[in-house]
Amino acid sequence: MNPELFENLRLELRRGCVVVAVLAALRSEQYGYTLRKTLAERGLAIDENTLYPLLRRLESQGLLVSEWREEDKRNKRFYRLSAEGEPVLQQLLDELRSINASLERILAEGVVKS
Amino acid sequence: MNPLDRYLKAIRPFLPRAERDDILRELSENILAEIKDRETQLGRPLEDVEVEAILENHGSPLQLAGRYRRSYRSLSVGRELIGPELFPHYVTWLCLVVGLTAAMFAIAALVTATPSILWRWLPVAGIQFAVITLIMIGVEWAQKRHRLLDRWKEPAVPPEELLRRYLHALRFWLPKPDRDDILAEIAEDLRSRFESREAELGRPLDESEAVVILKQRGQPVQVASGYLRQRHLIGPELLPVYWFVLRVIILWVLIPVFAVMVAPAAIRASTNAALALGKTLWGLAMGSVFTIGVVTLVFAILERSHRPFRNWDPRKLPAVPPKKASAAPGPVSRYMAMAELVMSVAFCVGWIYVVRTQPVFDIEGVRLGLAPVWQSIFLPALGVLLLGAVRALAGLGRPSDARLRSIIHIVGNAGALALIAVLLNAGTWVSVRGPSPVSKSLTDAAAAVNLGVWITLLVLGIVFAVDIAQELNRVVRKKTAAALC
Repeated sequence: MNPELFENLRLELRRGCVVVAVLAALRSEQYGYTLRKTLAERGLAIDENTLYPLLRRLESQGLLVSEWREEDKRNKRFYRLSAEGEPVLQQLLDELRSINASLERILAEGVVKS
Repeated sequence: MNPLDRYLKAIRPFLPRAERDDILRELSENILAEIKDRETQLGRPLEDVEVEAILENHGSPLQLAGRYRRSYRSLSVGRELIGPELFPHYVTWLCLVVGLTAAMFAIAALVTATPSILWRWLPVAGIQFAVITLIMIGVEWAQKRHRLLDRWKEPAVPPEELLRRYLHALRFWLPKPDRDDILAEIAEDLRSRFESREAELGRPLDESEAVVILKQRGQPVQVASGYLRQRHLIGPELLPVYWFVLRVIILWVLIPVFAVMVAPAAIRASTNAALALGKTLWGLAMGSVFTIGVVTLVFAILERSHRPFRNWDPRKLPAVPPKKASAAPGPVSRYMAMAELVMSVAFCVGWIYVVRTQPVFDIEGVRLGLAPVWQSIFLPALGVLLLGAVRALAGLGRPSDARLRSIIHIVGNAGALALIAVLLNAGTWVSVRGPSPVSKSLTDAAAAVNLGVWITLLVLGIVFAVDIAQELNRVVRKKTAAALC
């Protein structure tokens, strides 16, 4: 199989999941660097050039809030899920679970038929 | 350039010219073997810093080159003023400058036939000797203090300076409103990464380690692109329509018009056919570029002005034409075939009447008539019109044979297209005569009438060209469908 094709499909599949993961991880406040480390430790490594613009986009959509604060003698921008973002995250998680369940059912049917 | 190359390049000028390449080759092989040994010991490739450490053990380039010299002469007055490394260069420069001046004085003495000029050279040579000696003493002193001549290591840029350069380059590409905010966040992230790496290594980062982190982050333009709004001239919604319109205009209008009308007319009118063809092709290229420009502009405006696909209603979609329901047209009805036959015969009779009787319209003394070109195409045009009748007869005799009807249709339209090309080449289609002398208003009227005919012929040509293409497409499709069945 063409590896480039697989890579494109993989990125497409990941795109939506990354948003959910970022929103979920920001239920507790974090700044960009620690957020990226957290996600990588949980098995979802995100390139920083994807993460930072995504954080800005989510903030402009009102799903995140951020503030500059000093920590360890340096100014850092801390992000967290906004009040508006909480129900959206919940809806997205429900949708994700529903997709997962549907996919499992489809795969199970395939196994039975074959 | 890697450290070894830089080192060898710095040594090169100080080596004896005759053996220079040989020494450098041998030196390079020795140092490479040493590097490989070290890599085998460590089980990994050496980093630049480690290679530089090995090279430093070999000594500075000047020192190393000095070892290959057979002469150890120096200039000393109590203490060494010019050492053995620089002494050969000192002698070379001295000989060159003083020798050149001596040659110039000798030529001047010969040309002016005054040998006494040569005596004047002595004080000049003395001054040159003193100046060059002082310069070389100064160079020797600077060399000992600052190693000016054998610098081979590129000065390391501190990580913080690299970061500043990176952020400065990035700043240029970032969107203005959030520039400082984005920059502060990226700077913070990169500093965190520097610190994290320093914690892993247990020491401050060096230049190469900072370079690795910055390179991982990406080129400034690439990083900035993530923060820029996605913009497009023609968006994905309009793009298929844009391509369709461009294709139709260029493939179905521009190219047929140029191929069937403009090119033949230009070739016939010109004495140089190749030049005329070249000019036509150039015109086609320019026409295509202009068309693409105009269509792109129109679509770009459409893209920005409104969203045509947002508010659509399935009920407003056009009905499917009955012909398109099937690629293969059904049998022609007898009624249609009869009507076609009657029309074709009527056209033939009309054509014969008009061309044979040459009617002239007299409007207040101004006589409008057909130009001679119509007479010259009488028979071919009659043939084309008769083909219409033949097609109708084929429909009556073999109503299911759509392929036969299509072929007759294509041949007929191709003939019509050729006749239009001949007509366009004529230039005058309606003759206007009036009481002599011919007035300017009459000439203008004749020009206007002919312009009208020209436009009509042009439009007819386009219609015929499109019709031929459609009919050909239908025939090919039907053939393919039959093959698939």
